[in-house]
Amino acid sequence: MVEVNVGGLKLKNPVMSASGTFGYGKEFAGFYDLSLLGAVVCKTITLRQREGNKPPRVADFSGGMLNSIGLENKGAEYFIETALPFLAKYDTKVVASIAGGSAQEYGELAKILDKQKRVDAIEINLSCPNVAHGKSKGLFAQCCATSASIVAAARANTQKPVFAKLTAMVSDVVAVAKECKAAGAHALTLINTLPAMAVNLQTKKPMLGNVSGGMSGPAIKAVALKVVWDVYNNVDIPIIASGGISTAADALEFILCGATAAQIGSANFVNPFAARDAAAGIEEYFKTNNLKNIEDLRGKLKI
Amino acid sequence: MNNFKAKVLESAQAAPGIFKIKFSAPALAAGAKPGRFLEVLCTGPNAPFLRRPFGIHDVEGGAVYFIFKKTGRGTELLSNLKPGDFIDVTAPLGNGFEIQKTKEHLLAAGGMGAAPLLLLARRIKESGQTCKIFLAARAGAEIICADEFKKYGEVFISAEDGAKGEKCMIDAPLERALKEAKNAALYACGSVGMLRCVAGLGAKYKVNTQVSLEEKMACGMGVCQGCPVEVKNKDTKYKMVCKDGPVFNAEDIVW
Repeated sequence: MVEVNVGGLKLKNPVMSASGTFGYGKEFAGFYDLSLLGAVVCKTITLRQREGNKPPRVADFSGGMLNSIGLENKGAEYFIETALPFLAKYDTKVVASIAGGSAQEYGELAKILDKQKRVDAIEINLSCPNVAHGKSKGLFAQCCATSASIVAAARANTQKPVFAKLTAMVSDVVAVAKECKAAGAHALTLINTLPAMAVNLQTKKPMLGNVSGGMSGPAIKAVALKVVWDVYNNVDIPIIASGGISTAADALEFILCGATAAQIGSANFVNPFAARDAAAGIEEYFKTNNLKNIEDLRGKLKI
Repeated sequence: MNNFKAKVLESAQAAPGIFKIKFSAPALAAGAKPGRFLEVLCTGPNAPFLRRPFGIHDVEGGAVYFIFKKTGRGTELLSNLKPGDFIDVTAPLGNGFEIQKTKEHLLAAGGMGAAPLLLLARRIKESGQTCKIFLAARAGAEIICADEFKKYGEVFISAEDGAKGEKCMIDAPLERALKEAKNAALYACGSVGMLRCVAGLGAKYKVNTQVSLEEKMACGMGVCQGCPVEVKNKDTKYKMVCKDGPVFNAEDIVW
């Protein structure tokens, strides 16, 4: 088994689901045993229930999709009472993804989740393009100081590993990554969906009810690879890759560029077995190529 | 629900621009409930990323049918399928229609909304009952499946352009039937405007009205929260068309 350690979180294999594309795992458990995954990253929760944005919320094109869900979720209490007991049955790590309107809210969520035994780590969503980021003009992850203050607030309230999920839509992602590390992040998740739009020429309307949304899928893989490579080369922190990863080969490319783990996102919508198959494919690749552990491949891109 | 590869048995143009695919899926066919749906992967050059949802149109032995209008690249690729090709299907999804214990069953279809109602008509007939079917469209050319529906009950056709049947919207013939009906249930599928009209009639004549809704979807199984419909519910503003529907009680929807 290709075991990995991501900032203190030990995984049986490097494959995780990406938040927002896997719910709390229940639907996929009907297709395969969730214990086959390194971790399940749950859909982002907020302190209180959120209604989400008006429809349409999804659109697609040949290379991927756009969404403007708007973090619809039933709140932290529901997550603790419903999602966590369900996931208790499976031998996989559980990562809770959190979002709030201020550093204080992130801190409160971290505090609540710190008490939950079934939560193994916390991913801080600093980069959802579909919600207002407190009083910030852009996304939290577009400001070094704000990102750092949120990471610090979460760290101050939990003993569990904390991951910061960043956006690629910045002039210098390495600067944001460094600030997050300094504030105490144990690992970084790179990248979130890219802010994007799609329009219908016939109706002259946007394809999404919220006008713009977040782009994901194979089309953003190349962008994510560059971000992972840049951060790997400049910041000493474990990286969880996310962005257009559909297969074991995709995940392995990210490991080659420095990632320790890989998240399968939109691909789950198209192929319900995508995450399971990626985990099995990585195992197979390591065996075939006689690789003993992740360090035999991680960052070994030949330049 | 299952994800499987299925062999295409037949592919035909049912009307100009409208295609009907028959594929082998014995397990799905055996228990197919009307109103439930499939998510089909479109493959080929420039295929759209997401699967496309289609209501189960009909079953025949171990085969299942879906029918669609060619509207974009995804449906264009599906229209090119040939017998012997394989399609990647996730099904069955959603909840489906509940056949009510009423004396009469009124089925109202707007255009392509006839698609999931054919299996409903078949199931009603199989339960030893009959139904009345109202097929409506803006243009007569958009009326589909009239002959198939005739096997299951009396068919009333209306088109706004007068090219087929009565020259009117669906409300005129449907309201006449509702006035006469003593104990009826209404089942509808079509555009939002058409469904709003049917829901209004259902409320006026106090009959149970189920509507099958359409929304852009990603996962099709309640994971992504991508296909909301606004509902009258104090606990939640939205429900998901894919998982909570696609069939809803008309009175629960914010029209």
